Amino acid sequence: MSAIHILPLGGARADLSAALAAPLARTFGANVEERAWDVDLETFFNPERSQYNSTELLLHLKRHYAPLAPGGVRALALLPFDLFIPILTYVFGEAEVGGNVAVVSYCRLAPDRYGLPADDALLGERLLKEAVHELGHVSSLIHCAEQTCVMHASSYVEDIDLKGASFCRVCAAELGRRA
Amino acid sequence: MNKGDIGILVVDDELIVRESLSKWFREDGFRVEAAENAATALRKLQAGQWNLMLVDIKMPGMDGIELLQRVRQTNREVVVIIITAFATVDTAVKALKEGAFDYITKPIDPDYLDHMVEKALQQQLLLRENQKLKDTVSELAGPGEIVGESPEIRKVMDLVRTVAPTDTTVMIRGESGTGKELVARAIHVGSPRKYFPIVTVNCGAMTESLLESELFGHERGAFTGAQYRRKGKVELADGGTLFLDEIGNIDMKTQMDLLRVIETKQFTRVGGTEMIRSDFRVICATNKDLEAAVREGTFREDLYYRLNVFTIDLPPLRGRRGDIAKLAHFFLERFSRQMNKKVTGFSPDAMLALKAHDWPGNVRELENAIERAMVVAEGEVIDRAHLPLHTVAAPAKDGKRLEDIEQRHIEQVLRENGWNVSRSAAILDIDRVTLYHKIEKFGLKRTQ
Repeated sequence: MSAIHILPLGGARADLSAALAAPLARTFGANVEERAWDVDLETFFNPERSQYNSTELLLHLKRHYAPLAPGGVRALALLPFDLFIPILTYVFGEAEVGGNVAVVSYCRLAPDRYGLPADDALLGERLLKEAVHELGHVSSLIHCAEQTCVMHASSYVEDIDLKGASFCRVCAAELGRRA
Repeated sequence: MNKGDIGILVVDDELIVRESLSKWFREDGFRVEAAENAATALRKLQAGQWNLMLVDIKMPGMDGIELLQRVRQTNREVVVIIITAFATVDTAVKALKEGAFDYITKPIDPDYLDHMVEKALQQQLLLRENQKLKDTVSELAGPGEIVGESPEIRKVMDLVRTVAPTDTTVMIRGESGTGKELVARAIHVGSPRKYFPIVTVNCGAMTESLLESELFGHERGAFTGAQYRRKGKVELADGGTLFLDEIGNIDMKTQMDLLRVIETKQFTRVGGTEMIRSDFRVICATNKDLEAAVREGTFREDLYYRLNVFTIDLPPLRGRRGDIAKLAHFFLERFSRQMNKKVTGFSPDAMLALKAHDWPGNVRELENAIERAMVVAEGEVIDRAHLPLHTVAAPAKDGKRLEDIEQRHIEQVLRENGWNVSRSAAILDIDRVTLYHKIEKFGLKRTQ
């Protein structure tokens, strides 16, 4: 059975990390474990944008974590900080398509960020969808036109709320084929 | 279109931008390639099929604007979105003037980028579809309907080709049934106005007030029965062609109104005060001697000269007998298709009769004769007996009047159908009561 390592970084909330394990295990049929990984996140911090460069973090993960992990392990870094890729204003997460690493942030997923009452259940739901989405990319899936599919592209949290946490039939079949 | 079939070319000197954007669009399923400078981009553009280019404005060597200019010299189709670090009105305006679809500033809002790309690709798809439809319209509406190879009709076609691309007013003269409307349509579809409507006004079929309302439209309540505002033909022809058929039949007041609107391209609806502009080309047709009408004072001289800029005289069918066989076969094929009847040709006798006939009703009469023959023909060949041609056999002194032709035609149809009125009425495409009236009017009697 394949494995997924969740790496909470930068003081990411343990409860959110723990809540991801069971549904990810079900969705990907993998052993999901939380692992500690020591990394200096300040290297990826851009003071001009007050954001963390997700592409560089992803590369770092690829270079320094993946070789240490057993073959076939997919690593998902979980962060509380805002992420960006240089050309875009922000991203919820980033993944190596067809590779073995992904990063996801819950900074923009919390309802209280938008002046709404805090809602951990909703935050957890959104985070799960984004985690499944990025790990879907790791499994070579691309964005899906089906609005309820977890692989549907989301630029705003409202988009995330509209889609489900599972794959549509086409993406599920593609995932099965690639597995 | 499958996203994998859509090619996006990212042009930026910064590796990180190229990689980020490429990755972003690959995750969406697009086919993506990147170029680090304008020269590489031009090479890639020439070598492959691209739908969209994202071009950084600031690059060493040839910058984004110059690249855009070069692309536009050879490729009008690819959509170009300019990426700029600093949004200045100058660069934005310049990029748009050079044919960019839009511009975006770095860093890009991911939602904005997705929407812009989607919009750009949709617009490109619409433009392609539009071009396809235009090509189809050009093929369908071409002057292929004007049939003939005689020197007379070739001369007409030469004149059509000469005048069509211009905006010149054309007057088409010819006997009834010579195909004046067909020529007007050929001029219209050969003109840059072909994607706008050609609006026909049959001036001979209307009373003075009806024609005025038909031409200029009317406001609500302009007259009894005008319950709604209605656009007139002049307004509907905006961008296209106004075809005034039987122009010689319009009254003096409408002549004056028409002259004014042709000269100013402005008018008011009947009962209205708002001045409306319409950009149209005028083609008119007449079977009357307008010069004589001018001399007699029934047609305004100034309107005559305004309309008679370029004249095309259509020859009567008897003046181009060489085209009769070709026209006959053209109509035969058309009606075979329409009636789903397998009639393949004419007997030698039938063709001789067609060529010998005088055709006072011209091409329209020939068309009707073939249609009728197609209805009554039972085999694969149209025979002499199927053709309603009487004037050759017994040209009466006044036998060329339309009424005489009608009488002979009705008589022949009745005879061929054993005076079965229902069947004859069906063939003549009139109702039985009308046929009884005609029998009475012409004093037709069944003979043994």
